[in-house]
Amino acid sequence: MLLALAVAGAPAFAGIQQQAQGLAAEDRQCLKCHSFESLSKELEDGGTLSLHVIGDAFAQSVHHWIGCTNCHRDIDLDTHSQATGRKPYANKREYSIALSKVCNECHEDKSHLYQGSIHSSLVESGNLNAPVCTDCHGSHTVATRASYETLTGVPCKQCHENIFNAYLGSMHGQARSELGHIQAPICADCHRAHDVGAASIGDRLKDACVGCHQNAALQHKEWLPNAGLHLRSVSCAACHAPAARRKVDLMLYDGERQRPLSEKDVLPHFAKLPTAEQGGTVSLDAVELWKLVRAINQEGTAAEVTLRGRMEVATGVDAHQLAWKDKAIRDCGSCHADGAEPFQEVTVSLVREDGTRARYDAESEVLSSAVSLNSVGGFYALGGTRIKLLDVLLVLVVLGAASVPIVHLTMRKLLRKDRAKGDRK
Amino acid sequence: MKKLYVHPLPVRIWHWINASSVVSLILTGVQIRYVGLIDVMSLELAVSLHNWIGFLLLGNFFLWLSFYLFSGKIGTYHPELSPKKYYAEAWRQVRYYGWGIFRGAPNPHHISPGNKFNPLQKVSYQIIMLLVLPAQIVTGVLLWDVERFSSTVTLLGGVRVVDTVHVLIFIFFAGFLFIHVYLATLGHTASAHIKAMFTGYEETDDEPGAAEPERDTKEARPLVVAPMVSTQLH
Repeated sequence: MLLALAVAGAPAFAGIQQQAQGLAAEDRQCLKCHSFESLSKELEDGGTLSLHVIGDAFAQSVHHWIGCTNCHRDIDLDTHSQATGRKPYANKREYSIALSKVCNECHEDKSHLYQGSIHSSLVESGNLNAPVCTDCHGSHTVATRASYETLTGVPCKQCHENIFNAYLGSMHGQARSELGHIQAPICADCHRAHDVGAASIGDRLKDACVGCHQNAALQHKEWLPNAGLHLRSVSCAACHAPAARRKVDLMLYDGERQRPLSEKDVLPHFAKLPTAEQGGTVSLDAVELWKLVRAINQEGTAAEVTLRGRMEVATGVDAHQLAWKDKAIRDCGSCHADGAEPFQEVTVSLVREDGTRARYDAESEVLSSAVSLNSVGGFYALGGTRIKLLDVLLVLVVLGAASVPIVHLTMRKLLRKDRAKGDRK
Repeated sequence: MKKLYVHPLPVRIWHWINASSVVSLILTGVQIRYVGLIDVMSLELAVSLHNWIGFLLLGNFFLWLSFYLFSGKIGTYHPELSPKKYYAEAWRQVRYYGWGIFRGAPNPHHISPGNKFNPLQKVSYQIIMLLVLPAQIVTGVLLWDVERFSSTVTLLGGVRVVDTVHVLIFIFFAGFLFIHVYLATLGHTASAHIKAMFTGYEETDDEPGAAEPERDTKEARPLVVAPMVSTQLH
């Protein structure tokens, strides 16, 4: 195939000399063949891998000075055309993963960050959609950092398009697109570029918010009682994305090791439960949840496992619908009234090995049942998750206490004659 | 009737600040707990008032504690130490409220400046002032700023546990108010004890061992006394 291309493409050689100015002669030599769009290679899975390189694009990339063979080191020019002695790749994915390792040699720091990311975890767990270097940066069109930080150039939208669209409608997106504030955050400013973490784990995203909105804690303290507790137990988006659907997540937390409990630690307890993503009609009620926490704690671990509650938004799209400050929820009753919307949807979560969360549905009553006093001891919202049994007790005590004077006074009136006799005696 | 000065000024000041604070805390507490069902004021205002009044009650508690510790009057709250004697006295008091009072029997407790509480009051007030109210104050302070006291809150089992204790004591006080106010009307007139808590003076019979007169007996008394005076005049 390569020979045929060489013959058929002879008139194009002159053009290549014109194109790709700035590339080394050796690289232009490569382009003699690789500038043909039809140049491709068959893979073991039956698919084809395009070997086409746009010379001009490569010449404009920040890597143009490196040259072809610095990355494609497995190429031996003597045997290249016969395609022998080269490692066959099972599929395009395997090829991308293999080639992305070359990037590590120069970009060790970025590679190290990437290794700890949710993207890397997903790749290792076999997720075919999780990105490696070239998925975001391109293979021959690697551009400057600034080009990835624009609304048009940001690579995240390739996979997270619906979330990116929600972002465009948010106050951050509007600030960039309509008001021209280039300092307004874009994806990597909150999620980071290479060490992208699972959005729902840890305080990283909250730290990102507070990183720019440094007076947020003080400003909330001016009007919000228990501001510190709110900032810890309620995600920023729960109030600042007023259109979002809100819910409560109870994360199993290892108090001894001070980290969320991982799925592998307690998987047998959850083996029969479908995750929220899998759907199904099974959801934990207050007694089951209490038994579950007790069973985990009885397994002999030194840790005391507790449930850490947090009000979150239901989806990633919801999380990106951040509104302007004056539209944020400030009505306390939206959470602190009986039957408030955020407490109607409850999940119990664990951390999977890939860093994502495994969530299991729970009944909303787990937040207001007396049985949950211990198991959900760390999460409580005045009014909204009040224990119903205490309401009954209040009514009984008030009625009982109010009846004492009524009964006693009535008795005194009824027995007045007897009392008069007693007085005479 | 003999007037006895049994409620010194600091006690009266403490009592009425405490009473108004407790009532206000119950009312704002109900508003906080039942947003949506009761909307007399905003939750923000209710929480703010609840916090300020809570700290007023906290300071007032130390006024009470300081007065009784440094004035040497703390013995007012000390019950009889002999269990046998105490239970006998307490039972007499229970019988009086549960039976004797209906038959015009004398109140077995005779008030005096150094002994103003009956045996039931001594124990119940001691438990309330040294256990229940401090527990309510402590849980209230913890809930006022959960983050500041997060380690203590966690040690106690979490914010839900602390709140539940706070609510249980709130329920206790809500019930206690009815009983307390009613018992305060059982003086020789319905308002006698309440007036005494303003003036400091309790009115009691001269004769030692005599019962606290009831309203009806007081009304009847002039009919008995008048002929005697009349006789003397003659």
